Amino acid sequence: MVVMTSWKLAPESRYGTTLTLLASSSLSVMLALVLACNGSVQAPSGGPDIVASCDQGAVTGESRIRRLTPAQYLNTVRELFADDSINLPLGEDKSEIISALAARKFDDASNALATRGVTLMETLPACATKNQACADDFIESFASRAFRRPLLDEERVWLRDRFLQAQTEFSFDESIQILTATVLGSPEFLYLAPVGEASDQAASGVLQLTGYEMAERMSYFLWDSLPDEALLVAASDGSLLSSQGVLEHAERMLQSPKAEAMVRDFGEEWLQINGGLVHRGLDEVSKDALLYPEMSSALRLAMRTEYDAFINKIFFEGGSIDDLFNSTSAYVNGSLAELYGVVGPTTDDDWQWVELNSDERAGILTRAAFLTVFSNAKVQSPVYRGVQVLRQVLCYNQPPPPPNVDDRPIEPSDGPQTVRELVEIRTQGQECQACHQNINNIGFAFENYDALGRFHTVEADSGLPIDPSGELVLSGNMDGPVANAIELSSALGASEQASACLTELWFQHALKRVPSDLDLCAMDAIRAQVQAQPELKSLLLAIVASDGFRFINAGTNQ
Amino acid sequence: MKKHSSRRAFLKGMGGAILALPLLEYTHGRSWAAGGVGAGRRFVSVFSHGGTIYNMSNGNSYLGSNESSSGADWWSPPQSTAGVLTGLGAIHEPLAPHMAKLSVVRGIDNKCGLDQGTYGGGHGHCNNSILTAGKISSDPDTSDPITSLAPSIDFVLAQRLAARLGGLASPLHLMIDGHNYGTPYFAGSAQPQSGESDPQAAFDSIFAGVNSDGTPNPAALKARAMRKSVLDGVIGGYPSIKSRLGAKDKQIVEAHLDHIRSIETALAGIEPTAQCLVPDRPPGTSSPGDVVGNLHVEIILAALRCGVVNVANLEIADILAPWAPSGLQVESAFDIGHSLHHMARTVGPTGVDAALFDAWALEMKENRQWRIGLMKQLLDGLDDANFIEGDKTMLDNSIVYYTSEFSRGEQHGARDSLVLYAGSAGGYLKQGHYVNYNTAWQADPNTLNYSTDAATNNLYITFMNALGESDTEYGAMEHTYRAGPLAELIV
Repeated sequence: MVVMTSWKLAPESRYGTTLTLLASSSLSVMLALVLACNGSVQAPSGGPDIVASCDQGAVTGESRIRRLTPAQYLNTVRELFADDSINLPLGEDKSEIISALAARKFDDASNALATRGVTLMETLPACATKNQACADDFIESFASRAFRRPLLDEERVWLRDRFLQAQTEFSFDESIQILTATVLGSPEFLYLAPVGEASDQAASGVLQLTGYEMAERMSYFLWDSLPDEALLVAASDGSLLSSQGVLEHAERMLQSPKAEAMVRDFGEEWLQINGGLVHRGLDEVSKDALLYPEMSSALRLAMRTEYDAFINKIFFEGGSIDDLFNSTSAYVNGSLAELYGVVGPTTDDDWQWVELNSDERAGILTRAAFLTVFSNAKVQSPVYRGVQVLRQVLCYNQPPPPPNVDDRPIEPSDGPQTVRELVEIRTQGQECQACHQNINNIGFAFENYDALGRFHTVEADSGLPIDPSGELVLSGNMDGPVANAIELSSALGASEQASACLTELWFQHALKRVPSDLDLCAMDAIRAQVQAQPELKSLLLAIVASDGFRFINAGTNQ
Repeated sequence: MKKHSSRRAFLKGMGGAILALPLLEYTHGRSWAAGGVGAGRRFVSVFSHGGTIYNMSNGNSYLGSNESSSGADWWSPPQSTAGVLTGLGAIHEPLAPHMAKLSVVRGIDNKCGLDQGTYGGGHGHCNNSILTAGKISSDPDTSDPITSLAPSIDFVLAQRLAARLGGLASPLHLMIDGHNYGTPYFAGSAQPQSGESDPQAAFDSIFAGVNSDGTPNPAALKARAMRKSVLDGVIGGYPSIKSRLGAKDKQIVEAHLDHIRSIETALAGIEPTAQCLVPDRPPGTSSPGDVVGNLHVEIILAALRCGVVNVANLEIADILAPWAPSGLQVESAFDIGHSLHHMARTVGPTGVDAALFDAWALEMKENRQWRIGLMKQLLDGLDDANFIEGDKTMLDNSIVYYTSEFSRGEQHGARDSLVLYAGSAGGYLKQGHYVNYNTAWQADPNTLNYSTDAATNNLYITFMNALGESDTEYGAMEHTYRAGPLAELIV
């Protein structure tokens, strides 16, 4: 029996003993192991061995129940109550066990929404008269919709008892309010808790999601909201138990504006344009008013609009990962057209798709949003740009800077020194170079873009010509010198590591868990699918149809 | 505490599972055989992210006064011997009226952070350990910290005090929002906690249902009764899902329901008394920090006076303080307080930014004094003679503990942590006192050397004892220099 603990990942991998991100040194070994996957996969320590193989039964990593994210909660209640204006403060913590504050925020929210249950109830035919039959009908329709499946008998009894209990103290409408808030505050609503069922397609210890559980998982991935009627019908008739049925509905779901919103949110989260531990987001990042007088809230919004539109265009109009890093299409208004130096709209209210100069722009990393966020107030920041590419595009676990690092922002130089030269001086120490050799080599390729993302070949302050040459590293198969960000982006578009990284980040986004060794078979199948069909939309479809998505592994959670 | 029993029993069987209960009974449950316990009734933590102006290095030495890195220390009192506090560091000047009830302690290491962290501490390791003195889970390959495996002192005390005195079993936790590198507060293993940043939401969580004149608000009381019915319903529905959950999933849901029960306890309401004055409902806002900070303190004071909670936390993010008297003086990268700290490395006498020292120091001092000013507001309220408990003020029966994940911010170190507290916990702790556990300093107050045998574990045992608990251990005692409480702090 081959126990695949030898799949322990390369030290540079972000997730350590969990799924590899196929860093360059381990890529060939990893692929060989995956392709040789005909032994057994061992569950994490303490759990049972699961006899499985990539072609002899589905296997997937262990998962716990998880609660709705704040965005999912809001989308769900907006659909439940047919009101897109609902907005409530919710706790943002992402830990597996909810914090006291987040629990209270959910409780506050469910109580704030309670009166809407009465409005819903009054639309029910059975509620022409407010009696027990009406309450029963409300329980059946509202709670089953909220729980994303038919009610269990014990749930009917529980909710009916709650209503009757409330009626001893409160009016009918108030009791409906209590019932509404009880449903919205219950674990059945707040958590995705699949149980699964035995399947002859699954390895021992692995269960297939039921139709309703599959519908729920699909909708909260592709829509960040609850299943629609068509999906629930498919859940009930067994359509979602086959890959084919799943793909048919996923294709349909990806045509919805809800899927566009999900992809937009992923895109913003991916490159962290809304901020991170040591950088501010697009709405907050400060720019020197004297150097960048055109910076305004309107321009920030325009940059975000362009960023979101670009990602959606790539995903939903047949674009590939290569297009993501190399397309010159841009959605611009007057201010952005001026920033990019292209002929286009002349006012900020007018938006058009244009083609940017391919000698200056290539893909998402050369757009104003990314370049503005990863800059200082006065000049561009090759360090922050390099770190971000390493971490988020190549999934390289770039360690934090040491405590004695000099993190003062690089200031414009009266010269004659360029930003690049100043960074080289700052990071020339041997202890710095251990990390900055990689960081700088990638970050310097973006030197043609100032702190607002404008293309320049001569630095304004130093008056010196810019050297945007660099080197791509840790790409898996495309390492080597690059002349500038155009060449860097071209190489990233063909990088096995960039592709593997994006695949893993999407897998993680879909399942809201870090992939483990037990997901390697599923990941391999997804990568194979993406290689055959490079459109990014096919990546999402491959994830949804994968064993990792359609099955669960109770593992040590027994 | 019966509600926890099943989960505890399960966890003992799990043998150190990451999902654990709020109280780690293995390390907190042993009886204190020798010596008594105090009569303290409440605990307030003021957590100021990012450290302060301190002369502790990242190693075993103090920073000198003629280095590129400023060796300024405006935290420690200007005295060369331990004992009665005779003066205050510049940062503590706002606390002068309360000096007789303050204690400043140096030389206490966050040894858990030191032992488990990288480069002598680090952001994640120090945040995950400074209030827990416990184990940290780390990435096995990168050593990056993941989470604390132990509860923080506030949560332990909230549960213990609630069991003896009533009140909520979880702290009232309010936050002045902004940049930070992670929470130091944990309800248990892998259970990070965050604070409420909106004073109005915090107020409503405690005082909804009571008018500011102390009279009941019928509409709000009805809403509260309905809300209680909802919580009863949520808890009552648990059996229907419980049978479908695996063991670990049960822990997740049961921890959620524990929080629901705490909300329900809070809904039991308050009874306005002469001691319990309900403040006006504050506006809903989470900024700016100077406004929110004062509102938070008033809510904490009211909640303590009304006996709703025994434990409260005021968490202050690592933010700049443009509202300080002199405003912002220097340009900090990314507009975060931590960058201001980092400038300490280059504004020393021989540093490249030496010319900026005066401006940096002014901004830094006023930023830190603003934080200390919030502690003063707390102490003013707790020491108010209008709220007497027997022959003592509320402060006399309390511990108000001010700390941070670092001593000196840019050093990211876990040695010589910030320890400042007020109150005597009912006469158990010395007041108006200065202690320095650095043995080198004890021999030579001008030394730059550092060596200690005191850790935060010992400090928290002392606090536990002062507040009526008989524990002899706290947190991960293998990461300590010595056993037991700190006798030097006890009357």
